[in-house]
Amino acid sequence: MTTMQYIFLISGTQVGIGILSLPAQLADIANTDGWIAIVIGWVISMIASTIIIKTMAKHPQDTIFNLSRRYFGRIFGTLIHLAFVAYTSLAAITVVFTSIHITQVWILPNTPNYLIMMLFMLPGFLITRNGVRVLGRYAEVVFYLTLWMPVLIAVPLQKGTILYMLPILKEGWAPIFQAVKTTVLSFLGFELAFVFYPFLKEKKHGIKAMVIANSISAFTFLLITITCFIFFSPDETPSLIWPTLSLLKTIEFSFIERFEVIFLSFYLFVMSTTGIPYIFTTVFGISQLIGKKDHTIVLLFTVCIFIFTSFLYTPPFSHIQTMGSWWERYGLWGAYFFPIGLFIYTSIARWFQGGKNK
Amino acid sequence: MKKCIYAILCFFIASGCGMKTQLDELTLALTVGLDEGKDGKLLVYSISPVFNKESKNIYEVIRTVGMTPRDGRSKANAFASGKIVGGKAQNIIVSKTFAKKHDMFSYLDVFFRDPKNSTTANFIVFDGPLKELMYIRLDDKPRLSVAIRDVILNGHINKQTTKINMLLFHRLSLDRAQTPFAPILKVHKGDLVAAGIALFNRQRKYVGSLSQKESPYFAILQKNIKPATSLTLAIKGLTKQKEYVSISVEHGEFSYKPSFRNGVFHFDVHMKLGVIVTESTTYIDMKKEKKKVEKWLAKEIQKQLESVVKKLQTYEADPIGFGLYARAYEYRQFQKQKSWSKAFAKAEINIRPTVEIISYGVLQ
Amino acid sequence: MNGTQQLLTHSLDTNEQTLRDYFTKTPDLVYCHLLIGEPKKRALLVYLNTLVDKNSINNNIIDPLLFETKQIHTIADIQLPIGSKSYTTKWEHVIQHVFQGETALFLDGDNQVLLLDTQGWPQRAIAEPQIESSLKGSHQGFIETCEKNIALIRRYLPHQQLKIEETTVGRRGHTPVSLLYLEDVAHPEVLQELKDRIEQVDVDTIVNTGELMQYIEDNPFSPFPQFLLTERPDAAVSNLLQGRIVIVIDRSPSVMIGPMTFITFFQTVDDYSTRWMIASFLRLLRLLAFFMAIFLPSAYIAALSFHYEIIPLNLLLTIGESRERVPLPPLLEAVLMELAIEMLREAGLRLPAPIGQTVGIVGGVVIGQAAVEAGIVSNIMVVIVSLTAIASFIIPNPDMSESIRLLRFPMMIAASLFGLVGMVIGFMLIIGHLISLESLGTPAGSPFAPARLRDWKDTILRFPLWMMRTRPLSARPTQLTRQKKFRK
Repeated sequence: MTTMQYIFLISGTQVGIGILSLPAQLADIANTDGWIAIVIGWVISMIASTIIIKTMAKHPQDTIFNLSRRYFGRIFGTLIHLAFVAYTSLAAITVVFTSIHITQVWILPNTPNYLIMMLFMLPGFLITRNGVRVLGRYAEVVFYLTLWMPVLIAVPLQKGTILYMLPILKEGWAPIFQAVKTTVLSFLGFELAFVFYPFLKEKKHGIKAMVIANSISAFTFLLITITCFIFFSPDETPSLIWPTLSLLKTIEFSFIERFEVIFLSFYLFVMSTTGIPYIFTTVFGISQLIGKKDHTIVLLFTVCIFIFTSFLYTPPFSHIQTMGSWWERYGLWGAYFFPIGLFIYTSIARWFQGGKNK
Repeated sequence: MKKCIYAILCFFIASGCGMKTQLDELTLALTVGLDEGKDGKLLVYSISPVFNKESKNIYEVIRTVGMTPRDGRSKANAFASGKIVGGKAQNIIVSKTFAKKHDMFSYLDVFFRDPKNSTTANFIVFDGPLKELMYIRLDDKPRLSVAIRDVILNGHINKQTTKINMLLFHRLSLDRAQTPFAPILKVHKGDLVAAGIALFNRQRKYVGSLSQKESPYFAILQKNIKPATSLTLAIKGLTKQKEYVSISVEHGEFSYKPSFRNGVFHFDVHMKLGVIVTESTTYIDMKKEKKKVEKWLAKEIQKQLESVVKKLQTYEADPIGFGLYARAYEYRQFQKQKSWSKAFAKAEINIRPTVEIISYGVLQ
Repeated sequence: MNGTQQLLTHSLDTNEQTLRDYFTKTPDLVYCHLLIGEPKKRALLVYLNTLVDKNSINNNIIDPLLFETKQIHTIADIQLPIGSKSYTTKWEHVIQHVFQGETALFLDGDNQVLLLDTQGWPQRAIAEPQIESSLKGSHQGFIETCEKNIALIRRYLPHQQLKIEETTVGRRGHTPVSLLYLEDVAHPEVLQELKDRIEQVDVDTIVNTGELMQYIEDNPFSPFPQFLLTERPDAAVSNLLQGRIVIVIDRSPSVMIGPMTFITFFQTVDDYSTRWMIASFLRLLRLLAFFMAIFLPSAYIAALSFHYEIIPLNLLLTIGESRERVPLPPLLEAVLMELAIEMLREAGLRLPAPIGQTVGIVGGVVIGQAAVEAGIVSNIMVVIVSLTAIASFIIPNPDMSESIRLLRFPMMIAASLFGLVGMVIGFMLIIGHLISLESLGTPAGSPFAPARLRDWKDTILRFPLWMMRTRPLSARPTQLTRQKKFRK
């Protein structure tokens, strides 16, 4: 995987379903100052991802799965392995069900969710099957294909009112720090560096790549959030569930109207770059656990489970929100606290080992 | 693997039918009207195009009685030749009497909540019972919905009225610092006419209106000048009689300065208008009297603007968005106000326009 | 015959008998007995008179043998005015060469056979390429003879690094296959991979290049071509210079080029001789045509079946009026018209030119007017279908154009089932497929995925030639620099 592919893979994972509702969540907590929280979240996520890379760089060929076994022994290693797989599978489930829900609400209200699930699983299967190399290429292509989207989001800006943003720091710093928790979680996705870092060709660019990936995501978050804040009135934003899409509803060209339908359909590309890496990590983790080199069978099995579940269970919006909050709670541990702990542990362990060797 | 894909495909094709919203089977509600019928019931009108060449009318009007617009619509489905959908709605019209009594926002909720509905539809207040509008026969304009839309758009460009789409209405309704407004439409001698601007209070109820003459000044206050705003001003200073000068405002620079003194908000509104003199009923020696004329014009414009603002204050409606400036620059004081409308009514607003004549045509 | 491994004998009579046993029911095989030299020795000329140049045999073989040959002891003493000759003692070689139009000369008392190159089979003159007509390039197209085709290529590249490797494919056909490449540019791994794949082909014969292509391509389940077939020598040379390998197959008028990337199918060699702004415009046009050809009918179906709201009101009213009498759902309407166009195209393709024109007229009237007036389809659908057809004709490569036309149908079905979502998923599948597709082990998605920014100069836009100083990385060339910086 080239450095570029790695960057786009990570930032593709970060920018996904969260961004559609992020402005509303921020406006709810910190009003129009929420964008400052994004900047803070950006810094924090960069620190966390740097720590991950520092940890991983100690054993450049190891994924987190090998690493956990190397340092924690078989039993604890397997436990950590299992926990990570559980985390990514939770993320995958949340992403898939949320995108199905959004599709149903906005584009295909009469289509049953199992049909959409089957439809989504087709490219999911095709791309995941071919492993990290194709995953990287896919992230890259999607990045180029979706470059027009931020430009389009900026179109409503000219109808906006900058006065809505003023005054800055209207309620002081307290609500902003509260909102940081939300923004930090919207950067989730960099923790997949635990799995993808060993596949990076030029390891020396690891940290730089993480910084760039986080910056791309931060820029996207900022652009969308600020556009929403300028376009919608401050009391209105929290009342919308997906302000980003409501924003697009007004875009009209002489040949096409209601751009949100087209945008959201295309946004499936962006959602796929969030969902597929998580699905891949889950599948990859499981096949490592059961000692299979080829992950196709596990993948097929996973896809079948997804489809089968969708036949039996149509999650209402409240369940999807619950899933999301679980993911976030788990993600806070998985992506921020766990790497720090791991870094300290591995450093100490290596220091001890080094002492022994001498 | 391949067989599996074929099986999935067959399944898709078999089950794919019935989820569509096919154009042929739909009745597009291009205009939706809300009115109050007898004994307080809600009357819902919808106008939709008919494509059948054999039918005489190219649009049909359906009237139903219901509790909410959504309810009315599902009842109307029984009458329409297909499923009624609001995705392409162009106009949402409420009658004035209806708007006076009810909080508009709660009735319009369906247009915001259902993502399939259009948010770019124009919101319009109709002066009179809606029946008058819905069953009007305009022989020179083929489709009523398009005709209504065009009347409002033209009125907006000429500054005879204003326009507001559902999204903006939503935004203004939910913002504490502003109140919504809407264009007024009326039927005059069998023709559609734009007739000024309807004002709503914080409770989204109709409280009053600005006349057609006041509309251009409203537009100027909104900083909405482009492409050009025509004003006809009476000036006394030139000769002894009242003389009329028509100008077209081409561009303007605005500054709204809020301040808070003695428990009241103060707004210093400065505007620099660049105008073109388009008509004058008397001879003016432009070379000599340019400065003087500019001053007279400014004074007259100030008078008109002040009367508009006064009117807004008496109605406690702030469609211009003075509240935005108050919130942006006097946030603490703004937050202390229980109701911005009340504070706005008490606010002191000084408008200081200056006029610069850019050109006065080809006559001296 | 079990004797093909065997060696010849010294006796002419035995040899002739062996031949006659082998070539039964071969009336075009000529046995010409001669007495040559001083003292007279018996000799036998054997050739297939359908495959040889008779003038050459009479003038360059029989005449000198009879009148100019003096003392001979062995066959090596015979001197003949023919450039290409070889000796063998194996029956296997004799038979193979005779079948290729060579003449075998047997001499009594000698177990060696002299094989003389007298090939002269029916040939077409070098003519203008039929399928890929050339605008600015050479008007010479490849023909059915391998040597002539190689000659056409060599004329462009008189350089010692142009290497040719010959092999044969097919148990019965022994089709000669030549691999042409620039030794200092083409990647040895790619070359080896290609050679291995050709070696593995075990069939009767290769009739046309397209057959070999299907035997050796990377992914037989892909709708997209993975090798370029061209009948233009300038295209072949241009690709050779980019580090690709040209495969010339005898008896087939098109050569095969690999490894290719997806985007190269949208380029023609004429692009390089057109001024760069115009060439870039044409490339953009083709890319637009690609998307139109795949997505236009499906977008129409999706908009009509699911997303009426994205169509502006005025257009929507027009569509509504035009569809008012149409009894068919959009999918059926579209598929019907698309199939009609495809049939027309196919009919016009196979028919002789005068009748082909009639098909065009009939089709134009039937599809264009009658169908609309009869109320079977709407006129907007006709516009869409015609636009799509035109768009698919713009794609310069016929194989790619066919792939795209085929992809349109699943796309239409997806659009009628899931609207835009179906289309986007279809697009995703195409992309997912393209990025995992490889041609001779090099990624077909290059230079987009994996991204090679330097190669983008020659993809969607065509930068000025003097700026394209390196060969495209997608062909994995070992020598990257194409030209020095000599301008600006």
